[in-house]
This record gives sequence, structure tokens and C-alpha cells, in this order.
Amino acid sequence: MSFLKRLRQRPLLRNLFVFFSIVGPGIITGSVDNDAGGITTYSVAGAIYGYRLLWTLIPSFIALLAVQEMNARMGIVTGKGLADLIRENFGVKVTFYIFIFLLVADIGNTATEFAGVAGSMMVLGISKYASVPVVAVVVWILVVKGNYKISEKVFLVFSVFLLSYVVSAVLAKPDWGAIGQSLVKPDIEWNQEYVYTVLGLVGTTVAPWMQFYMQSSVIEKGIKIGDYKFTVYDVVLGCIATIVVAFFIVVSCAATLHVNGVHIDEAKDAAMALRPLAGAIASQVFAFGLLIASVFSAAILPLATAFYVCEAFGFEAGIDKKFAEAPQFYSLFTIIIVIAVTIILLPNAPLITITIGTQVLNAILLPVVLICMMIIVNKKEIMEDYTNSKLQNFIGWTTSIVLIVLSALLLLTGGLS
Amino acid sequence: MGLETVNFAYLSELIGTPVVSAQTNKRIGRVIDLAAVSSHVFPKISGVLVRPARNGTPVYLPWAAFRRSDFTHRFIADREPSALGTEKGVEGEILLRRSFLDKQLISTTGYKLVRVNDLQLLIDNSPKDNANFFLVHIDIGFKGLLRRLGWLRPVNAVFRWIVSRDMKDQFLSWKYIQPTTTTTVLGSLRLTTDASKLSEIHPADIADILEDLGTDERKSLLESLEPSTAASTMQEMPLNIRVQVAETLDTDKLAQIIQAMQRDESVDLLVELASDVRTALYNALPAETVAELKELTNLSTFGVGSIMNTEFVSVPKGLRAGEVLDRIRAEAGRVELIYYVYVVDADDRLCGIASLRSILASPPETPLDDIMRENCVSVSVDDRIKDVAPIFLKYNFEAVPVVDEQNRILGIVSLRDTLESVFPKLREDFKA
Repeated sequence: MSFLKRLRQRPLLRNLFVFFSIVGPGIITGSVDNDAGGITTYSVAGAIYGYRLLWTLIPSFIALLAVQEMNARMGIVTGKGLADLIRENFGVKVTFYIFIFLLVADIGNTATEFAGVAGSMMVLGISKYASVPVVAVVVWILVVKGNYKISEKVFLVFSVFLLSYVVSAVLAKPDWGAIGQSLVKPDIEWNQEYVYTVLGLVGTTVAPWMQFYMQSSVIEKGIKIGDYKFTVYDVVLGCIATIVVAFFIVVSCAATLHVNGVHIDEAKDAAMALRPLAGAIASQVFAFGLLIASVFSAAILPLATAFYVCEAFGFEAGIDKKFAEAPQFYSLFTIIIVIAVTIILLPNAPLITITIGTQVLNAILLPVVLICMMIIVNKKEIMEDYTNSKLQNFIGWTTSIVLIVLSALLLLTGGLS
Repeated sequence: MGLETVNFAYLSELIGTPVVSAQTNKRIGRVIDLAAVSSHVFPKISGVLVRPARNGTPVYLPWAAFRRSDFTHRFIADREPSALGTEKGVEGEILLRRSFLDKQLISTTGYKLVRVNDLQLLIDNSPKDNANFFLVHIDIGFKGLLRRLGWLRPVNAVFRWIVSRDMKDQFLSWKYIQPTTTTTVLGSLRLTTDASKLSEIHPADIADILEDLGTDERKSLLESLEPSTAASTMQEMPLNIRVQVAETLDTDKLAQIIQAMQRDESVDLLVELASDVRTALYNALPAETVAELKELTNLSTFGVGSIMNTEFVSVPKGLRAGEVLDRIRAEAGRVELIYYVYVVDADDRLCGIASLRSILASPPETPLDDIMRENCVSVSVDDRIKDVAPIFLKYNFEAVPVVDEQNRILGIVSLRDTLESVFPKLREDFKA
């Protein structure tokens, strides 16, 4: 005790100490971001377009960083969750419709996570009828019976495992020259499939539910405004981790599947297709990464959804509460998992339709949530001295507008064809 | 009040209602909010915020300007449209929609936060000239949510068809509600929140509720609590939250709270505070408290000093049991732990300890020298806490005196505080 306190008198050590007590929300959110849906999108993009879509990761990074920084700042300054702020500032109607859509989208997202579990375990030789229920039960117990601090550490360890994609990519022996060229000189096409894939890439990187999760976990940490810079480091680290992992997934699929003209629909297909092209180890490592990412997100997504729905409608929520104190919260969490698992275990589940439907819902919701955020974060009476700077507003509004235009394009062209 | 003269209306039904001029019978605007003043138990509606039909800036009309009408369909105002915007609200009025709708309130019976879906107003029709409105219930139920969304009728119809009864309301009486924010009519004056209803709740429960609230609400509630209640509430929060909250508080208020805290707890807090906040605090606190705190905060890095309590009962040598009891009685309000009485000589040097039990058990005229134990175990401020802990185990004490090199008593260390320090994790986990 006294030893620790004495250590903390030194500025550098104190800073490190504070940083490690704050680190977590950004990195965990960033890692959850590369969930089964994300891996699928990155794999498909890599398989179809090779290295040509790698450039989208740069704007994605900027958008991700801008959005998450705003969430962290709003959380620290107001001490309120995003759901709470939206309800208090935009009233019950806006909140209700946003949350109905989010709930449906998140059930779809969760189903995608369990599909990831099923797919990756299939590559490793285990039937989905065994793997999915087991993972669902483990996730449920971890969250309901566990302790948040332990879960958080488990999640942090999980996010390290996502680096397995780096291994997978290196094993695939990519053409580094071509990668460099595609980043420096992006070549852009204007057709529906290209726009769709770009939107998918950006949309899966900046997902609406993440913003709620990010803000709530910052609040959970009890960070004071004086330590805000450390939270920014955490957010930056998280965004870098997200983009690095995404980069290597695209690269490993581009170097193998695209070069050989293999068509895939799902992340699992990518893992299978890697076997003859890059060897059994690369394939298993890829599947392992998919498994970890899916389990990770299958735990956090239903949790975050249950949390922000309860927050918006005034039910008690939080894993530090007992079932009797927060029945709606635990019921909602359980129901989301049960529905998602049921969808996956149905023999002829329309998985592709669910994935696409969910992505479209996300793409519609994202601008709505972003606009709400931009309005709140610029309100002086809420944010006091911490409203957006001009640069932050520029990036924030550009992100929102680009996403709105892309979503509109997608919906329009999709409707025409 | 006869039954026929009383009925109810929901705030959501009144908002948006057209306001009609009594003279011209033309629409002059719409109701956008109601202002209320607190009367005996329930706030009484005292004014209406109207958005004029022509120009969009809201204007205030006092309740006296309105005639009796079917309020859910229209409000009839005795004002020419040209007279709008000339009246001002009264001091102390709060806006119901801005302050409460969609916001969180504290239920003082359920010890938890609730979200306001709607407000139910009682309409007292007994006065001759116009009805009076009172805010009586907070609607926190699903039914209120549906009413706001405009789906109540169809959903309730389906519900009645299935289970043959109406959906249940979930109301909380205003009596059992603690508001967390208030917005005044003119917006410029910040009313202090009246936190009196919270005083009936245990500080541990208040702490739980405050942890779930936003920064501003926490601040205004803590600042309006009695310093002693605020201090015990803060002591129940995990340290990181306590620091976060403390740094947002007004310096003078924080100084009062720190003074009301147990010394060891205030030292824990001070050590963690940002240095500028600490400096401001030192300026606001009485010099003698500052000296004491500074001493303790420096000591804290070394050991026992950080958990030492400087409030204890000490008496000079040569008293009798009865006199000692009177001393204890006089000090009991101030001192946290009175299991032991420390006997000191003229130089404040510790020369004996007597337990409260042994004093109570002795006839009043017994000399203290006959009761006290002269051989007493003490520790030094520099001793490490983990070396002190075994002393409690070995001797079965509730508290151990802390002395300096000259054996002068500086304070006491309690079993509880030692246990908490030896198992800091235990305590944080328990509170979290």
C-alpha cells in the first residue's frame, strides 16, 4: 500500500499507473468491432477486390477515432450513457424508434456472432449443434454470474488473440509492393457492388451499438476529466488495433483467395479456402481468430444491447446488480442470446439474408445515431467547455454525411436493381 | 373536494394544446410547457409557456390569465395576442416538461432511479374562477410510454381483448420522489435542488443511486445534502468515483464535506485529488484542519498514519470513574470510536488505557488509576499497516493508540480501518 503510494508520487510512474487503470474501454470496443460480421466483410472484400479496397481502412480509422473520442468525452463530461442523453434531449419518440431498430439489428448481429462460432468450430471439426449451445451457456454464465472486472480482463486477453490474423496473413506470403501501391494510389470504381463493399467495410468498422458500449464502459471506469488524455490514448490504441487486425484479414484473403479467384460468402469459407492455398496452420489460425472474435462479441453485444435499452427506458441495468434488482436487464440479455442461438440452430436458417438485413439496418441507423451525437456534443449546456472543436466538427459531420450519402446510394441502387 | 370536482390530466395530453384568446376567439399559440411552484405537498401549476403562432419564441403567461376550459382541447387566455411576451415568471417556478419529462428521478421508497414517462396532474375544479392543477403522480410505466408514443388506445384495446382488463398504471406519488434537476422558467437562475427527501435514505443507498446519475445531477444533489450526510454518502462510494465526484464539487462545499468526513477517509481522498483542487481546498479549510490534514497526508505514504484517526477520548491522570464517564458523554458526539479511554500525563504522554466496559463496571468514585492498565501496546506512525494488523489478532483490541517518539499520543488506529487497508481489494470489491 505505502509502497504503491510512494511509487505514485513520481510523475512518470503515476502517469503509467493512471493509464493502466483507465485502459480497457477503447481497446475492448475496438476488438469487439472486429467481430464475426467484420471478419466476414473483410474476408469477402479481400477475396473479391484483392488489395484494392485497403485504402478504405484509412478513412475508416479516422471516422472510428473521431466517433469514439466523442463518445469517451461525452461519457466523462456528462457521466451519462448515450441512450440516456438521446432520451433526455430528443424525447421518447426518437428514442423509441432508434431502439426498436437497434434491438432488431443487434439480435441479427448476435446471430451473426453465433454463426461465426458455428463456422469456425466446423473448420476445427466440431458440429454447430455442440459448439453453439456450449458457447452460449459459457457466455451467459460469464456475464450473469461473473464479475465485471474479471470479464474485462478475460476480454483484454481475448483481444490479444486477435493478432493471430497477423500470423495468418504472413503465412499467406502477400505481395507487399502491391499493398503499398493500393494504399497510396486508391483506385475507385462507381458501381453498385463496389459501393456496397465500401459501405460494408466502413459500416462494420463504425457500428451504431459500439458507440453506446464505448460510452457506458468509460462511465463504468469512473474516469475524471483531468485524466481525459489517457482515455484518448486508450481510444487511439483501440482504433489502431481494430484497423491493424482488419488490414491483415483483408491481406490474408487477398494474397490467397483473390489471387486464385476463389469466391466466398462467409468468414468460415475463407478459413476453409486457406487450407489448400496457405496450409492447414494458416487455415486453423484464421478459424481460431474467428472463434475468439465471435465468442467475444457474442458476450458483449447482447450485454450492451440489454444495457442501453434499459437505460433509455428507465429500468435498472448493470451486471453488478442482482437478477431481482434488474429483471428486465437480465431477461433482455437472455432473450437476445436465445433468439440468436435459435436462428443459428434452425436447419435451413437464411444466414446470408440475416447478415445483409442486419448490415442494411446498421447502415440506416448509424447516421441517425451520429447526428444525435453531433447535436448533443455541440450543446454547451451539456458539454460545457468540452464541446467539439472545429476540426472535430468537420470530421464528425463529414463522416456522417459520407455515410448518409453512401447508405442512400446503396438503398436506392439496391431498390432499382 | 367532492369527487365530481376533481379529475386528472396527463402532461403529455396538455402539451401541444391550442391556446385561444378569449376576446378574439382566435388561436394565439400552443402550450409547450407548464410552470409550477412548490406548495404544501404537491407542486401547483402557476404559469404556462406558450409558443405563439406567429413568432416562435416561447412566452410566459401566468395561470391567472386563463379561464376554465376543457384543458385537453384548448386553453382560453384573457390576453390579446399583442400583449404576449410582456409577462415574466415568478422566482422559484420550475418547468415541468423541461425538468422532469424523460429525465431520471429518485424514488425514495424504492431507493432507485426511475425514468419519467409522463406526469399526472390533478385538476381541482372547486375554486369558482378557474381550476387549479397539481402535480401528483409520476408515470413510470409502460402505459405512460405508449401514451407518449400515441399507441395507448390500440395497444390497450388489444390488451383488453386478450385479458379482459385495462393495462395497469405504474405511478409514483410526488411525495416519494426526489428530483435530480430543476430548470427554472427563465433558465438563467439555477435553483438549488431540495434534497430533503433523500435524508431518509441510508447513505449507502444514496451512494448507489448517485453512482448511476450523471455528473451534474450528482453534483447538485451532493451539494444540497447536509455536509454530514454528503460525507457519509461519499465514504460509501468506491475511491475512484469519490475522487471524480469530489473534483466536480464547489470548493467551499467540498471543504464542508471533507470536514464532516472521518479524518482517515478525508486523507484517502486528499491524496488522490488533483493538486490544484487540493490547494484550493486548503485555502477554503480552517488553518488548523489544514495543518492536521497535511500532517496526515504526508504520513500516509509511510504507514499507519494514513489510517490514523485523530479523534479519540483522552483524559488526564487522577480522575475518578464517574468523572471519566462525564467526559466520555461530552465527547461521544464528536468521537467515532469510544471503546477505550486513553490516560495521559501533563505532557500528553500516554500512561494508561481503560476500556469503556471497565469504567462502566466500576463504582463512580473508583480512581481511574485502579481501573486502567499501565502496560499498553502502542504503535508508531511510521509502522507499516501490515505489521500493525497482527497486533489486533494477538491482543483482541478494537483500536490501538499511535504515539510519537516521546510516547505522546497522536491518534488511534481502528481494527476496521486496518482490516480495510490490509485487504484494500476486499473493500473495493464489496462496494462496487
